[in-house]
Amino acid sequence: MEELLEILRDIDDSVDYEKETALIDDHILDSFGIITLIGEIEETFDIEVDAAEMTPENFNSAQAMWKMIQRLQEN
Amino acid sequence: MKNITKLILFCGIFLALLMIFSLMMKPQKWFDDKLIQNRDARYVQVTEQPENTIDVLNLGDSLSLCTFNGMDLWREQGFTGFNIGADGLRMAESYYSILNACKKQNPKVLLIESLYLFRYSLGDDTQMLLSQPIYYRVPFLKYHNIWKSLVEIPGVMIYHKGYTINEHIWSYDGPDNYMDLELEDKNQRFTFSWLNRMWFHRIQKYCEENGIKIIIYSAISPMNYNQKRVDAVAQFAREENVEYLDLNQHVQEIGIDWMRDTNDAGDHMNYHGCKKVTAFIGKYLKENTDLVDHRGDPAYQDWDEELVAFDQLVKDMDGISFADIYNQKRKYLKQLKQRERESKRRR
Amino acid sequence: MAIHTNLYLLVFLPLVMLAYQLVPRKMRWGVLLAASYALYISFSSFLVLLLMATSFFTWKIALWMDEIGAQCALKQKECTDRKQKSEVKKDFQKKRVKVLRLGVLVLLGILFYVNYYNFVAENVNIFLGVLGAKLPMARVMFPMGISFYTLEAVGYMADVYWERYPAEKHLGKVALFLSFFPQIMEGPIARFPDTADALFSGEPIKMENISEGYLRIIWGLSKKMIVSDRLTLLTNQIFNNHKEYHGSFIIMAAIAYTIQLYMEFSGSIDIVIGSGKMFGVTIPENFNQPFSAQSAAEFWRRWHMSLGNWFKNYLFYPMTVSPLVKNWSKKARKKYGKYWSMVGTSAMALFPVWVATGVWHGAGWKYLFYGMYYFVILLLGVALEPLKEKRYQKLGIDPNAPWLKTLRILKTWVIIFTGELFFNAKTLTIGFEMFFSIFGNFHISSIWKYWPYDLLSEGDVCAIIGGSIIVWIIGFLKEHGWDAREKILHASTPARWSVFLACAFALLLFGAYGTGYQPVDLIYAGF
Repeated sequence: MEELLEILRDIDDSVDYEKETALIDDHILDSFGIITLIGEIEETFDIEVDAAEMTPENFNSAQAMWKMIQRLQEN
Repeated sequence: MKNITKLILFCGIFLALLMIFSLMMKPQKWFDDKLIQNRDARYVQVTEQPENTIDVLNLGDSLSLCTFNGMDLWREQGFTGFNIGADGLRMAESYYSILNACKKQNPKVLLIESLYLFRYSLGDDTQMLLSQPIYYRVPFLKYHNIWKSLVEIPGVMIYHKGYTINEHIWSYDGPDNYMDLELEDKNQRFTFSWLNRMWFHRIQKYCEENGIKIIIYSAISPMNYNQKRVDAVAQFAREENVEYLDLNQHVQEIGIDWMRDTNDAGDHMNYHGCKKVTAFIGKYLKENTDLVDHRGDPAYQDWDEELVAFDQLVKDMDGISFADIYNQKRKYLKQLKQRERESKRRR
Repeated sequence: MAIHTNLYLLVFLPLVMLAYQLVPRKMRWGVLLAASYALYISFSSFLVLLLMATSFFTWKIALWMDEIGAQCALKQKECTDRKQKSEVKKDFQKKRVKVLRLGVLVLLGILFYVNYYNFVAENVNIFLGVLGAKLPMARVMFPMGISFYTLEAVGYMADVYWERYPAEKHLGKVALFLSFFPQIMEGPIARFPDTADALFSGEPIKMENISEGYLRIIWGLSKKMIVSDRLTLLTNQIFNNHKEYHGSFIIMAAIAYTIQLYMEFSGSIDIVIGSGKMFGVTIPENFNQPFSAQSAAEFWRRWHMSLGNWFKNYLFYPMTVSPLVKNWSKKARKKYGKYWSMVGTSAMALFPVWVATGVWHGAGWKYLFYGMYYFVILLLGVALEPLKEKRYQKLGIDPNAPWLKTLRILKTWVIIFTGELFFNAKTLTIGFEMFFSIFGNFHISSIWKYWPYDLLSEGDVCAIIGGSIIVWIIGFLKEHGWDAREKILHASTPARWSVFLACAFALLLFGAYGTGYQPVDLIYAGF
């Protein structure tokens, strides 16, 4: 989790990721942020994020992202 | 149930307000004549004529408006005529224009220019079945554009018994035997829709009841008429048992000068052409109807006065081009105002 | 029968509402579907069959994918260890992707044929002409709304493929989702969960929904009839005869066209959303004060949002996570570093999106150019972002200072106006001619010297400016958290009714309608 938060802070450090729950819906994380983010988490956690995962629910909060990462690591 | 009552109450308030506003919507009371422009102008002005003073109503689209002019008819024959047509006129609208014009008038003759009898599109004309009776009965909707008069320069268009002077010349350089050729615009219609016939029958019925004689005529216009089309109108007139006059057959007799008399290369007549055609129509009316010459009758004195103003305007407007008519006329109106101010000062 | 006509608003819509309310709840969806097909027939007559066939096909493809999924689950139950399970899943996933491809290809194939075949043939013929060969031109009838319902259908199939929701078993529900009558002409492009349940459930018509729908429709009609329809006359004249006008008029025409397009498109979307509201259906929003955007990217998140979202969900994201882009991005990161890999990846993911956005509007080089124009601007935005931040830090400027915001908004306006100039020019060449005449032949005074009073009189200009200012103020207040619509709907009955009546009479008084006015067609219905 700490690793994920670090990646996120690297993209934009003005957001409180532990509290924010509408990263996508409020456009805090824009499309280009997502591009960077996906590259980073795939490398760090050694997972494959495929198109089916690209939903706002999976990226709206750090918590949701962490859940997704864990799920993908299990598979 | 409570909700339905609410809904009905709301609609009721809406309709009541619409009626109240409609009663208040009397443009001629609120505004100077010059402020009422465009489509509303003729519609309003014809109702302002003194009661029972109009002999001839001329109905049709822009072709009719540039072909007939009440001032020259007065000069030549002493008959009183008024243009009640409108640009791009449709049958439904024309029916209500007649009803409106006849509110205070009892004309003897209704001239109908034939071109607009062809005009038809299913969508628009179906909508007009609904909208035109509403516009006729609800002045608030009919005159809703009148607020524009408050911010606009008055009198850009000056109307004389429904005629506006236009002396712009753009010669027609096509062949003289245009009646034998095909029309330039291949999409023109040669038949009359059942809906247009229905409206015509309503017009006919109204005229019969009120003793108005209908004469259909075709204006001189190489752009819009050829023999095939004129034959179609003649056939229509026979079927409906109405008199028909094709002016295109009298081009030489009327003395049309193709270099000088048209405003847009053979589509519409300018004032020079209109004057000649009106003279011809006047003679035709004299021979074929029992209209009375009112010249010298003190009740019609204002027609003489208006004719003087009209002739002055014809002189002033000479050389003003149509393309730039708004700007040019604005300049002209400024001059006119200055002249008025000076003459006041002299007095 | 377009949705802004009297016939629709005063006859069709009330009758459908009445019929809807009178039939038993279980049959209400049938009323909506019948009404939708009736409206469709009034535009495109027998092409309604194509819409029906598309609905059936979409429904079937989605079911098919679910069926394969069910088979997969059965097989997985037999497996013991996890590895075997994922092997099985992979196998079945291959089958499912084939079905998805079939579905998408067929639908996009029809869309392509209808929209672009003649354009492609024309341009191919230029090359084939050298060889003496020639592709025949097709005489295509345009099925109304095909650009909108095709995207909805493709999105639905893709979502089912990604297992975001199960395939719908009821054919009628899918058919109604794709053809719901307010949406069929101009969108917005909805996703299945957005509207399908509400459409199908047959909720009774409620008083507060009628109020909300009414207000929305009047608001939309006012935008269209008071502002947009007036501007049409002016923009048509200048765009059709651009050589007769000085550069100052071209600038004015570009601005006028942008306002016209916004008022007319967002206005008709208001009518769409209002119509849906009458039946208790919440259709997704399509605009969100686009002119307060501070960058081109933000503008596209606020303008025609349903199209932008569609491309984001079904093209941009799949592109960003596609093996092609991912592999490239990994390599690039090692070779060129983080910054360039990010710019490169963005370019690769953005390019198809903007080609598609451009040509979605129609066949023609100008639309392609329009797409590329935004591609370049957005990519520059991405590439310059770090530079900008540094500059702000260096100069000690607060990036959120109000004056800077205003400046950014104005900059975005210029970008938008320029884009719409090319968008509405007859051809790309004419677009460039008009664009360059701004610089070569500019006389600000010609605006009042040669103002076309016959097209737009002083009164019309007052109505346009007044109307635009009101729309701007209401948008500005909403942007700052004061939603006028909410306030009106929650006011006391007398206050609410007064506003309702005032709006109606303002529309009747200031709207451009009546004999002699041609009702103006909807722009986006042509796409």
